[in-house]
Order: sequence, then structure tokens, then C-alpha cells
Amino acid sequence: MSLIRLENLNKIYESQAGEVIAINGVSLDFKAGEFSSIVGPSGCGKTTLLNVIGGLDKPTSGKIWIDNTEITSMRDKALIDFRLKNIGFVFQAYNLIPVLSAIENTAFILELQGVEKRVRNERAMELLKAVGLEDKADSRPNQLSGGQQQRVAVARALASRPQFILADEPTANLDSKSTETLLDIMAELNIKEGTTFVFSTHDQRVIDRARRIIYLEDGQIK
Amino acid sequence: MKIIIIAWRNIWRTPWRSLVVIGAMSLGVWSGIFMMGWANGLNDQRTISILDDNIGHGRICSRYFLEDQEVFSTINELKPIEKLLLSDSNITTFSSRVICNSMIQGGSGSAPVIAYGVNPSSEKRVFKSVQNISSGVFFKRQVGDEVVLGEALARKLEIDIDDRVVLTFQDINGDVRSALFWLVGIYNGASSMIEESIIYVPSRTISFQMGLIDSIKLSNESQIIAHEINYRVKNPYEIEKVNNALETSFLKNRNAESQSIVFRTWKEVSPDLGVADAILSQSLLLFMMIILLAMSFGILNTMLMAVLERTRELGMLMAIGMNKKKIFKLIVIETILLSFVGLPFGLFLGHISLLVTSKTGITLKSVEQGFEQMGLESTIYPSVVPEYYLPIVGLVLILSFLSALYPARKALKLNPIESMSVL
Repeated sequence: MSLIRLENLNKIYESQAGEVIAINGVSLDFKAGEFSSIVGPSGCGKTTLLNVIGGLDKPTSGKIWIDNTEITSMRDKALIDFRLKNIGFVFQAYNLIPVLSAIENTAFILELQGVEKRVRNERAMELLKAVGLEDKADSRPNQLSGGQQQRVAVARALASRPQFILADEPTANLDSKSTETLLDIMAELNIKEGTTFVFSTHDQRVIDRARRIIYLEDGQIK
Repeated sequence: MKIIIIAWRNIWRTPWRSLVVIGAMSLGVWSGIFMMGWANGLNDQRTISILDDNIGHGRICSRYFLEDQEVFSTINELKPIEKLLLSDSNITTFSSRVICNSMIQGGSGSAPVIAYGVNPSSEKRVFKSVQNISSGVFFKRQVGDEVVLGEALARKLEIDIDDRVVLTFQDINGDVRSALFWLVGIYNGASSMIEESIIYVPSRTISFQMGLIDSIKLSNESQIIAHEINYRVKNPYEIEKVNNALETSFLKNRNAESQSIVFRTWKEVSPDLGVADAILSQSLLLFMMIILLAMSFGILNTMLMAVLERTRELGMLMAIGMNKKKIFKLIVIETILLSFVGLPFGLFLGHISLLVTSKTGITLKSVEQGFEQMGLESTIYPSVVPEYYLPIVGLVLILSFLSALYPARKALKLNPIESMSVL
């Protein structure tokens, strides 16, 4: 049974030069526990597809089901709540909250969900251990390296035990060693906790580790 | 809870910019409070000067006299009231008056006046205007055909010390009577209007002339009849409390006739002074509001800059599931915290400044003469104004909330994807 199901998805942007077709009739299924990569050249629509799956952007047409819930017709408020409870995000530029420490950043999603302080701190510490940053729990993002920040971002994305994690070019700003470490962590979490990962990337190191690769070109699956 | 922590830490991301806003808030509140204390001090001095001159702090009279000013509407229980006033430790002194609406003739003309029949020694203890005698004396004897009038009236009638004047008035039977008085003193009043309209005569003399007492009582040493009693208290701004206690104490176990005695505070005797206080109070709050309003634009600008600088971060917060209500809350709390950090400093500085200057006073040498002409001293003693602190806190809260609305609206309009693409 599909965790994520995309049905004839289209996304068209209006621009001064005319219409730009970012996603063109994409139909796709992701099963729970997948470790998938959407790959393709720059501008092929990878990030747009990820944004649409994550409910950050609305498709022009087509439908998205997540665990049998159709999200394309959801109102903004409901969609934000749905994202909070069901989807974890890892961004290219880490996007941590600069004024919070690593543990506070990790626990932040749980705070938004109204989880009790003791429980969220335990979960955050458990995840920081999992990404190898328990000794950096009290460090602010500016005291961490790029790789460490991205590991905190992964920990944050996992904190609320979401149905799946969308990672947009997670290794784009990382060196080789940090990339390998991060991929090891994500692969381990995928196996141990059964977390579903969907990446968008053109990084060969990520592509090499993915168990399913989806090629996108000009907004279409090849 | 975390939102408050994020808001607080966000303030210190750009410490110098925040410190400028906090400093401006402190200075604004400080200057506003000092101005309030200054204006209050000046107004208090003016009010007290007027009360000292002619009104007193509290006044007791018959309800009938208050309504119709009839000659026979005297206080029917003068002695018990005087006893009560003497026994009250809050009352420093008092004086009784007989009031006679008259026409004065002398020298080159005539004028309508109110003749106060007074006991010279007690009147001097209560009112300053009769202490300020520019020519002659404030009566040579307790009883006698003597009159003291103001400088402006003396000029108008072209009379001087030892000249004669004739007072024409109604007696207790409604008959018009005239009596001859000798001018023994000229006083310098708070205003020419007072100088022209109020004259003083010995109480027992005018009471006898009006038929209120007979010739036997005329020789009695003590005051035996009065239309009103004026009293002074230690603090004129606590007059309501003293006046209410007096009234309650007097009316306890008394008959219906006693109910005709009216106890009034200076605010009731001279409502314009009370109204002036209320107007000043409102005006000062308005003034403070203008200062804070000006500052709130600075706060708005700072918060707007903060929102624009943090576009990417706000977009990320929306993306990971922070709803609009929480984003709005974050911006509002941040703005309120930014405003409230400077507030206690401003209040503290303002309070300390007023505490010090209320003791030392501030002398305005350049306007000394003008102030003296108005009957005011050139040294102003600002008042400490704690009653304004809570309204100021409320104003800051409201204005900082309003300042947060526009930046918060900007933040709410952000699109997560577009925001996160901002470098």
C-alpha cells in the first residue's frame, strides 16, 4: 500500500515569458520505508515536486494522497497542521533557528505539537545521540559546522516521528566526509526506525545510496 | 513558552539596534513622567495658592444658604460644629464668616461687593489674602465700623486709609439698611477680580447691622453666628476623606434639622479647580500618548526590519508547521518585549528624578516676575506621580501591540517557498 500517491500532477508557473511547466503529468507512488531519490538536472522540477508533495506548494492540477488523505484540496490552516504532524523537512541550507541550541531546535517541532517538556527533551536527546551530536546539544547553530547543522536538521525532521521525510538537496552544502556521515545516519534511521526518506538531489553520492531512483526531466518522469 | 524564549533571544540578535529602541523608550518615558510631575507640581502650587487665598480646603454652611443666599439662613448649630472641628486632628484651623451682599459707596462711585463678616484673627489663620495687607492693617479691633478692601476697589472708588465708605444691604427682615465704615486696610489679592468684589468687615459688627444679633451679643467675645465655616486640613488633596468623616461624625445621632448642614470640599466649592485637575490629568496622559506614539513608529520600523531580515527563517518556520497564529504571536511578543525592556528604566529614572526635584525644587529665574504676578512662587516643586505609572504601562502595552500589527501582517503574508529562496 502506498504511503504517498501522486496522480497526474501538473504544476505550471505563469511568467512574463509565458507559461513554465515545472511538473508535467507526474503519477508516482512511494511505499512506507522507501529510501528514494528524485534525480535530474538543475531546473528539471525536483524541488517543485518535493514542495508539492510536502504541501508547501499547490499543484495546478492532479491529486496527492498521503496515507489515504487527499491533501491537495486542504485549506492552508489544515495543511500546516498536517505538515506538522506527518512530514519532516530537511532543507539544503539547514534552516535551523539561530537563537535555539541544537537540542532546542530538535525539540521545537514537538513543542509546536504541544508535547510535554520532559518527553520532548528525551526524544531530542535520543535523536541527537543517533546523529552523533549529543555533546553539541547546547551549541547554537553558529557554533556548529555545516555537516553538524544538517545532522541537527535531520534530527529535527525526525523528532515527531513523521510518516516520511522530504530532503531537498541535503548534501549540497556539505563536504565529502560530512555527506557520508549524514547519509550513514539517514540510512541507519531508515533501516532501524523504518523512516521513509524522499530526496531530491543531483549528488552522485546520494544517488549511489538510494534504493529507488526516480529520474525527472523537464517535469516528467523518465 | 518557547515562543517567548525565541522572541527574547531574537531581540538580542541585533543588540545595538535593540539597545537604541530600548534607550529611546527609557528616555521617552522618563521625559514624559518628568513632564507629568512638573505640570502636576505647577498645577498643585497654583491650586494651593488659590485655596490659600480665598477658598480654604473645606466649607460648611446651611443647605438653605447655599440655595438662596438668604440673610437668615445661618448655621443653626455653630457651636457643636466648632467643637467637632477642634477635636479633629486632621483640621489645622478654621474660621467662620457672615456673608452680606452689599453695595459699597465711597469717594467717586459705588460697586457691588460681597462683604465677609470675619473674626480677624481666625480669618488670618485660614486665608493668605488677608495677610497680604499693602496699606493699613487687617482691623484694629474685633468689633467696630472698620472695613478692609482690595487695592483694585480702592483705586476704582478713589479712596484711601481713613476714608469713609457706606455699605447698603438687606437686613434679616428684608429691609434695606446702610451703615458707615472706615477704611482701615487695603489688601493685595490673588486677582483684581477678587480685589474688586470682596471686602472684609468685623463679623459681629455686620451681624448686628443685619439684625442677626442684638446689642447684647455684640459685646460677646466669641463668634455666635455664621453663614459659613471655612477650614484647612494638613493635605488639601485628602480633603474628601476628612470632609466625609466630619459629615458622618456630625450627622450621627442628630435630628432632621441637622441634615440641612452641608459639608463641601474645595472641589465642590470651586468646581473649576477640580475640573482643571481632571483636565490636566487627561492632557498629561494625552501628552504621554503622543510621546509613546512617536516611539511606537520607531519600534514598528525596527520590527519591520527584523521581519524582512528574517524572511527565510519565518518561511522555514511556516514550512515545518508553525501556524499563522503562532507566527503572529511571535512577532507581537517580540515587539512587546522590546518595548517593555526600556519601560522600567524610564519609570525608575522618572520616579527618582521627581523624588529628588520634589525636595529640591527647580527655580525659574527668567520667569520669576511673571510667576509672582500670578501669585505663584518661581521655584516649582514637581510632584511624584505614581498614579500615572499603571496607565503608562497600559499605553505602552497597547501601542506596542499596535506597532506589531504591520510587521506581523507582513510576516503572515510570506510564502514559505519564496521566503526560503531568499538569500
